[in-house]
Amino acid sequence: MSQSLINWETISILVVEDEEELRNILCMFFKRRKAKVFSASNGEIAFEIVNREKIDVVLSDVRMPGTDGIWLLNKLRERNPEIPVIFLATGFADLSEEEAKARGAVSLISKPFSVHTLFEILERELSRHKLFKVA
Amino acid sequence: MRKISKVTLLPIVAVLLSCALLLAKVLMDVTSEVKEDQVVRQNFTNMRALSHGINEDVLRSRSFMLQTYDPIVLAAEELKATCDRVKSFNDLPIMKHPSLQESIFVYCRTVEEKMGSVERFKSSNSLFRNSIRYMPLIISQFKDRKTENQARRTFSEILLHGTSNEEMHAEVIRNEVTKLLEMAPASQQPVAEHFARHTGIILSAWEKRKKAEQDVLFSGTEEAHHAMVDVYESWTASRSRSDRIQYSIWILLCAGLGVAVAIMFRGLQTSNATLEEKVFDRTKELREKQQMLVQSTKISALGEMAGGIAHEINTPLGSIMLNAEMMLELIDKETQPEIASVAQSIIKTVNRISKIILGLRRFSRDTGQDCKVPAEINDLIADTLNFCQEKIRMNSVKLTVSVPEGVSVNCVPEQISQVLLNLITNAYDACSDIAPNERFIAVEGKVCEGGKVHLSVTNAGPAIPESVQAKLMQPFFTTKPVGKGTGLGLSISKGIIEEHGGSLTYDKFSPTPRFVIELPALPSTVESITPEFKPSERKAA
Repeated sequence: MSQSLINWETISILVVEDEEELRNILCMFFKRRKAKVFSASNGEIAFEIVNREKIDVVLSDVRMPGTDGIWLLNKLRERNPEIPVIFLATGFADLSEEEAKARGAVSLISKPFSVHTLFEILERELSRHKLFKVA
Repeated sequence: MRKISKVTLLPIVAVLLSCALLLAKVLMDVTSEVKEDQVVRQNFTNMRALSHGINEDVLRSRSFMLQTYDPIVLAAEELKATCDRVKSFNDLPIMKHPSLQESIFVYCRTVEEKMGSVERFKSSNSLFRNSIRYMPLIISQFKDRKTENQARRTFSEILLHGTSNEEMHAEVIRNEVTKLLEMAPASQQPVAEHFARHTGIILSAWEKRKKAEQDVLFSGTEEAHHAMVDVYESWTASRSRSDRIQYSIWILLCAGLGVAVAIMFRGLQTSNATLEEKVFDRTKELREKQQMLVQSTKISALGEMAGGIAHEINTPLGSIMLNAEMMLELIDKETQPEIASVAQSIIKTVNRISKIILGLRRFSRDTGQDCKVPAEINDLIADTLNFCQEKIRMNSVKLTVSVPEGVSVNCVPEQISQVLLNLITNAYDACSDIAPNERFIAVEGKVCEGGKVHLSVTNAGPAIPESVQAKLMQPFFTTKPVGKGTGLGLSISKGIIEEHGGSLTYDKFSPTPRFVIELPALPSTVESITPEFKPSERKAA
């Protein structure tokens, strides 16, 4: 684990991904950094969690069965516009990064991605919020 | 001979049938006209015979003065009936001529006059004959021999007078009657006066009969008959002349029509044959195009399917990669170097799969609306090779890429990659029939004067014949077997490059097949690349 600019222990992160293996491994990375991790398999469950818990950042798949990432993004933009959303996309028929940003997401990571890329983008986006500056 | 359709034959049959009907009508007209002519002529002959018969009877009456000539009236009536019959023919085409009608009318009028004369002749002859028969009875009443002889002499004169036309004899008879009245004694005077009175009746009847006889003989019937027949002859002659001309015209017309139909038939046969050939060629062409279309549809469907597969693969691929990375986090790399190596290998493989999928993505996307962006040629080539270099390597084709670093063009990268893939795939196919150690594909690039980037793809295959070179860029033209190529690759590629303001050509001077893409280089490229290239050579892994 490389030296991080973020104090992960103060961060609560919501991972929204329908693919269980990917969801689990992502959660595992955040847990190992002592972050508070929540997970959901679709947008609706994720939105319930956001309403219930204090969430700092949402990492969400775009395409999911039932309520998808776009649905979740729209809900969050209405109710919790302060929570940054980072999309995970397969890059094919999903959104492009420009489209995702236009809709209100802060960034988009194309699958498959390395853990290095993931944390680089997360740190960059979280750093923009004063609250998460190095403790 | 090729078969002609019923629809084509219909007008020909109609024309021939019309000709046949026309000829049949002409034949029928001719036949009926001949019959009518015969009937008319027969009637004319009968008229002449009847008229002659009447004249002969009248002339005979002088020699046979005591014979009855009553039947002569029947002959006259028959002549009149014949006239009426001929008049009734005026509806026949053969009789429809004003002069002929007029001459028939004139003839019939003379016949009517002749009939009146015949009637008068009959009655006067009857009176004459009966009076003659009464004379011997009167003579027998004379008691005196001398007076009786004078009466007999007078009667002889009367009989002689009856057979003569001369006026002189009438005077002689009157003188003889005067003599008789003078010489008859007083006792015989009543008988003599009776004789004289009766002689007067005979002479009067003779005069009337002679007048009627002249009227019958010179009624003008003969002349009128001649005139009528002459008019008829000249009319029928002119008619037959005009008919001959008319029939000749019809026959010529029919012959002309026949020839025209024959020519038309021949023309139809020829055009039918040409049309069938055209239909055959067009059907063949359409069948080929249909096969190609099916092929291109298959390829399009394959692209779509590849896109779907890539989408499904990317998520588990991400999972594999993160798991491998987690392995690296969990182990102590110094004490467990093998596990670290395996994890690294997994990450490397995932990256390779990811690149292949990226290639798939490039070729399955609709890039029609994409904007042009600056792209380096080497990156475009690398993207393309990700997609096909494994196949090239597996078939022992030596692949070399020689393009200076930093050469960029303004383009839709996916489209240029598509063109490159097409050229490289064609090059790969061209190498398949060559010995493995001779197979090569060379991708070369350079910046030329005028700010153009030249990118060429050369292969080891046999040179393309000139006849094929001309058609290379035509849509649906392919030398590959059906099912292998669509014939669309080069034409689409040419279109893409031209949309980028460049050109795609076949190098005629190259000993082996070589295609050259020329694109406008970015200004930064032209400035940074000096004539001395810094070529980078890559070999297929």
